[in-house]
Amino acid sequence: MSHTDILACFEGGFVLPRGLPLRILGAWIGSPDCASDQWVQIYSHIKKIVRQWNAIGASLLNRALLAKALLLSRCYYLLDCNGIPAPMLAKINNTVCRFVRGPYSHMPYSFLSVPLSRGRLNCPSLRERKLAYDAKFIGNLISAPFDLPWKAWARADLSCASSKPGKQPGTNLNPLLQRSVVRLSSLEPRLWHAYISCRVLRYDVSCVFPSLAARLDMLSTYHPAVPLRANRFSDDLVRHHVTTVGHLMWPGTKLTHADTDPMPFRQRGLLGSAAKTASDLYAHARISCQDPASDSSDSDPSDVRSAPRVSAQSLATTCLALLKSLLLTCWRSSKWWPDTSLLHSSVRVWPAMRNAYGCARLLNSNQSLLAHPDRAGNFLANQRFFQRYRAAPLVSLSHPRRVPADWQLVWTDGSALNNGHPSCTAGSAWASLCGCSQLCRLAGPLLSNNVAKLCAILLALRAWPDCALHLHTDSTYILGLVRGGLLAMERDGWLDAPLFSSCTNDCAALSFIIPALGVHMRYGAFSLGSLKPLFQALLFELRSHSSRLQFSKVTAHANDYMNNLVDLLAKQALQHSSPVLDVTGISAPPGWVDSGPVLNCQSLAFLTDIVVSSSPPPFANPKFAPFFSSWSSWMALHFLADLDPVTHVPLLWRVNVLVGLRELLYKHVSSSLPIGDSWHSKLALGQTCRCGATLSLDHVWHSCPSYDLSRPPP
Amino acid sequence: MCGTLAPPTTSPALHPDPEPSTSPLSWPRPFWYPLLALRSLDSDPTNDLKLCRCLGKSQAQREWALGSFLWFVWKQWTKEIHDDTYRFIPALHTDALLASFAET
Repeated sequence: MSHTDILACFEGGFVLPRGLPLRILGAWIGSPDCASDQWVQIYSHIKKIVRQWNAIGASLLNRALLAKALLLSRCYYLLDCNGIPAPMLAKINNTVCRFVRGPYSHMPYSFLSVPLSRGRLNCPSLRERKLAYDAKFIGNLISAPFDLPWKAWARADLSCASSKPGKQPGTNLNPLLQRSVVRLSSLEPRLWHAYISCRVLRYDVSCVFPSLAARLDMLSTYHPAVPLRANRFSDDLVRHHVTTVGHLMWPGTKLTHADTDPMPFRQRGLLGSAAKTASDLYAHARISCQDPASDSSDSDPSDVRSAPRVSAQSLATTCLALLKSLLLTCWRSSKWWPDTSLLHSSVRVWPAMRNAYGCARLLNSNQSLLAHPDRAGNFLANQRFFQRYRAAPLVSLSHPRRVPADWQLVWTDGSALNNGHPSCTAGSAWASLCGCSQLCRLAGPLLSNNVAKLCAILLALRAWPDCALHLHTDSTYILGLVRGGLLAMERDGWLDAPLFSSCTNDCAALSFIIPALGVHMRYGAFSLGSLKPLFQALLFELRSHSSRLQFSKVTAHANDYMNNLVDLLAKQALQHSSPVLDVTGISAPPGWVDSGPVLNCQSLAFLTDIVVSSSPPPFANPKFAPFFSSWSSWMALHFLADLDPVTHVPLLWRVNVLVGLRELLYKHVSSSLPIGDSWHSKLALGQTCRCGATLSLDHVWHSCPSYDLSRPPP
Repeated sequence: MCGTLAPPTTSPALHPDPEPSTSPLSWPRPFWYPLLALRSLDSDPTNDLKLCRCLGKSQAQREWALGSFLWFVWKQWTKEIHDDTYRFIPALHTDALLASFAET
């Protein structure tokens, strides 16, 4: 389309000539070269600021603050828009790191980038921030909504640059969901940077969320769980529109409609059918795996007549081979195929996302789509890293242990005193129409009215694990959780779980037992905690309930006899000596709830923390070992206190002393103080004291008689 | 900084030695080690609540006093190294040290 044609349609329009870069909101589109001039300007400006502040002088803490506020912040926008050339990244990163670390310091910069709570300055380097920005880019790419223009453009760019393994470019695959080879030189600059960073971080995009629809939505060809040799006939699959795993599981129907669009079938009855439940689909797939002839028997003979028979058999064999490969891998569904038919329609405990992108998350396994398998790192040992969904325990929800004919009607309620305060006390209770009831006094630092009501639901579910249960609650919050809130939390990596203040003082790692409650309390280890384990336990109880389940809302204080009764019981649990339920000890068993972090919807701060955490912990450095050993033994000997230096040394930054002394002590703790062996050695008293002793900080403060304040003047 | 407590107190933060003293100078060396854990020591569950409250209120001042002393000695030592004509005699600088305590 020429410029004249465009003007005919859009008056005042302008067509960019091919190859001309475009700049939108400060970001260059299509040409990284035009951004390089801006990076030069930024670099020169950073050098100027560094010179000025070096002349002024600043403490270590202030230098970290200056680096974040004045230096690194200048890079973020362009870094996120266009990426940064590697040479320029090295230059700026070295300049900033040298400024923050200061002269005469030889400690690794990774020591300073760790958050303050773990003993360092919470000042990540530009290189770490770049990795975090790139991870954020990929996270946004695989998060909903998927129809945004930039996401469609990025996926199309990835698809154009990818090809089948071992083949020439030209066949487009989706490298986020398929095994493929990506020609990095063909990617746009921003995507290229993100892709490289994912390789560096060993991120692996994979769809592992336990959603049947999402698994079926995965592409059938070059599936990440299928060996490459099983994809020999992928062209045939594409030709017959068997493009997803769902099509693989119903090959007979697809073969009879080879020339039609697959989407109407999916919508009409293959994947979203109400008549064909998940169990039916899977049972059919298993039968198909065992007996290839069963496919033809299930399909309509009139439809089979319209398709070429030889081609259909060949394709069915290919489909079965792929299905067997899938069933033999971690993608197999035989271990866990939840049946939600027993649950009430308002109770949602299993995810139902249909789009595979919505279930994609980043992993660190060897089954990598993006990362080189030979690249090793410390990520496998990092517990904060993105985890794969673990296999669920063997359970059959479709065959409950005992299903009574009648529903059990149970009312639940919780009560709290001093709600919202650290001194909050709470109690939970439930009661049924058959006369059974239970009440518990809650113990823990995270109590509130909602927690009490949630614990009442937990107690009721635990008390009636096999019964058809109709639970009544007056809490809208609980009903919101049951009707999708818990699933949303699980999908987003439990980011929405409310936080609570777990300690009222800064004393670190003090643990003791409250004899009256029999509870082991630990205060001060973290300043903030989360209700995540409690929500996960509720989701586990809902999922593991082996009978029918329904929730209803009752109006509080509306003369409902049973609701008034459980309200009274909950208050009795507060006031009288009742059995104690330790809330901190409630958790879900492994495999039932996806508790690991996900990349989708994560904040940049979290991703930066993840990137920084992937480096070895600073206190693992042997430079700290002498001080830690000396400090622990000294405190145990003189104070009879067993204190953890890893927890207490970070508190150095909060001690009410001069900033310069903090830096001095910090360098002394990390054996980074250049006393006696660096530039001081060039001076007369730099290496040996007047008293003849070898110079050290402890000698100056404690041992040297020349500095003893109690000594009289000569 | 100076002075001793007559009876043994209930707080281990105040008696790191068989002879209880509030003076770090009389503590076993290196006496700055408790600087990292004053709050933890003060919050010992075996402490009397009243004592804990008093210790909590005075914690910042105790940290400042100890830190001022350490910083004062360090500065004097540094000055002595770089200035050949300077000789640090602690007893002659008591006033300067006391003045540094007041700079809270």
